[in-house]
Amino acid sequence: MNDIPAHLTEEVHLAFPSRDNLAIEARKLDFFYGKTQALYGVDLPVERHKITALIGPSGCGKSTLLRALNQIYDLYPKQHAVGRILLDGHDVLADRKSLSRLRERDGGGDDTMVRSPIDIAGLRARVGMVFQKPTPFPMSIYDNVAFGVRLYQRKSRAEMDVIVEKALRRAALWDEVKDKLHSSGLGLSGGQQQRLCVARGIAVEPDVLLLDEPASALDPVSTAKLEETLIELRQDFTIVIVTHNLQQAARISNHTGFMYLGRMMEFQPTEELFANPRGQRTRDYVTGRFG
Amino acid sequence: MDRALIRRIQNIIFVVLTAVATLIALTALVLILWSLLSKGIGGIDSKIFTMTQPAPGSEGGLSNAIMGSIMMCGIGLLIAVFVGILAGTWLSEYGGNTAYGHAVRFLNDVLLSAPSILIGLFVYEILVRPFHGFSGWAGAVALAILAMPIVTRTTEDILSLQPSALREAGMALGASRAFVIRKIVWKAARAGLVTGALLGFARISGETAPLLFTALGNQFFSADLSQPMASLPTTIFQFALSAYDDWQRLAWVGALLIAVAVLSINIIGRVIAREARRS
Repeated sequence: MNDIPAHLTEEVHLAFPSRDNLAIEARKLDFFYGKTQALYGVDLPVERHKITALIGPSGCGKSTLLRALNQIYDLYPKQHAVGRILLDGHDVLADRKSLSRLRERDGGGDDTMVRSPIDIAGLRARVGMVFQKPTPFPMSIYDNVAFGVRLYQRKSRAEMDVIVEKALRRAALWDEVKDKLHSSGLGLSGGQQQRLCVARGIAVEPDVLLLDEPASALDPVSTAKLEETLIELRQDFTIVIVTHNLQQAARISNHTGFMYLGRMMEFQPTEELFANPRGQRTRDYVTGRFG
Repeated sequence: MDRALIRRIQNIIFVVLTAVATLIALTALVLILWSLLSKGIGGIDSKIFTMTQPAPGSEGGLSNAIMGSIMMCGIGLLIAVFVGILAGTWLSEYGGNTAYGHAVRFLNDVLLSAPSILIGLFVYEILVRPFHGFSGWAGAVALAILAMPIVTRTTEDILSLQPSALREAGMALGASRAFVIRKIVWKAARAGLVTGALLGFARISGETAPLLFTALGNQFFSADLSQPMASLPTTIFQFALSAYDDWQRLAWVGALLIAVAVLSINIIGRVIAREARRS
């Protein structure tokens, strides 16, 4: 890095919740697409059974941060993260390559790091994800929901029926699909497909559910329904949602982080951030002056 | 002249040109089908399927050639689909962007356009000469090599079209990459995979040159792949060039059979593909 972009030296306003009750946490996270750095030392504490929203203009790194939390970037060999991600105190970025990158950046001999690594399948079992566009698998509604469960457990037909029904009920989809569980998930409407993806994600009972602009492809009615669902789900899960829709963040989230060009500029309780933003950039963004 | 008129005239000229081109292509197809039907259909009777090829002037059918074609095309296609789908999957999902991947793709494209007679000669060198004899196996392998690059290519293309979010969604649930490919990506792409296999079949069902060098032909009925084996294309080749009317008639029947087989398998494949897309 020759030039330090201006925003990297700007003051940030971070009012993080206490660390006692975090489900997942990113600490000083850098992220790289090849040689391009997309995240700069981002901290993100996510409180348990709360909804944390990430907002910011396009390209600010909110999706990148979300995708780092469950290491889905792992599919692409040129992408990597440096820093720490803690799931319930377990280190997610604990493979040898990540550790050596961390040591290279922060220097060795940091004994405060208590290493209790978690493997990637274990991580993904506990951190579910819903994507921007609905991604139903090419199989029946029932099999879509059962897909994740079958990866980890062998269940009898009756037990699986219970799990599938419960997940679909929690995703507020049961009443609409209970008579056609064995027809294709691809036949549902966009909003239904997205709630099917939510049901699929929660059927494995993850701790954390990550949602990457889940409503951006949905009409207002479907969006409202999805939001209701998310608020309900807060009782059982911890939710992190990336959204371009500021009203959505304001309506459903407890904490909101504002990101800008790869940096967490402001993090506040949601009402606080929208009513009384501390940073100039945050103020401009939430009042619609840019973005 | 005003612009609107010029544009309308240009449009008419263009429409006429494309329509004429379509007509020329269709005419060729209709003429082929017409001559096949008119000259072949009269010769179709139960003897075609029950009797082997006759000596000139006596009664006979094509059962040996039909049997040989079904066996060699079937086995060739099985090999080609097995190798081609795996190779195409590797290109699309794993190594497609490595230097080795680029080399594999390039060589596959070369193989795709390689003259079939060369492939016949190649298989002759590796499977016929060393074992001192023509065989059905050699014919099946030659056909497999012809169909393989087609299946590989279509598999790669069709898998690349599947959205990456689908793979990510599978991985995000904790499934391994291989599992996601087998259970989700292949399933989402099955209509395209079937199409690839059909294209492969269409390519090899009428191939003559590679079979002349490998399976040779056999005037007797044989289901033994280690022996020379008859096939419809080689029999057509032999009969059509002969001086005997009855042999020439049988050649037309054989040609009609191949055309009908390719057509019906294509239709069946399309129906399967449509069903797959619906469910």
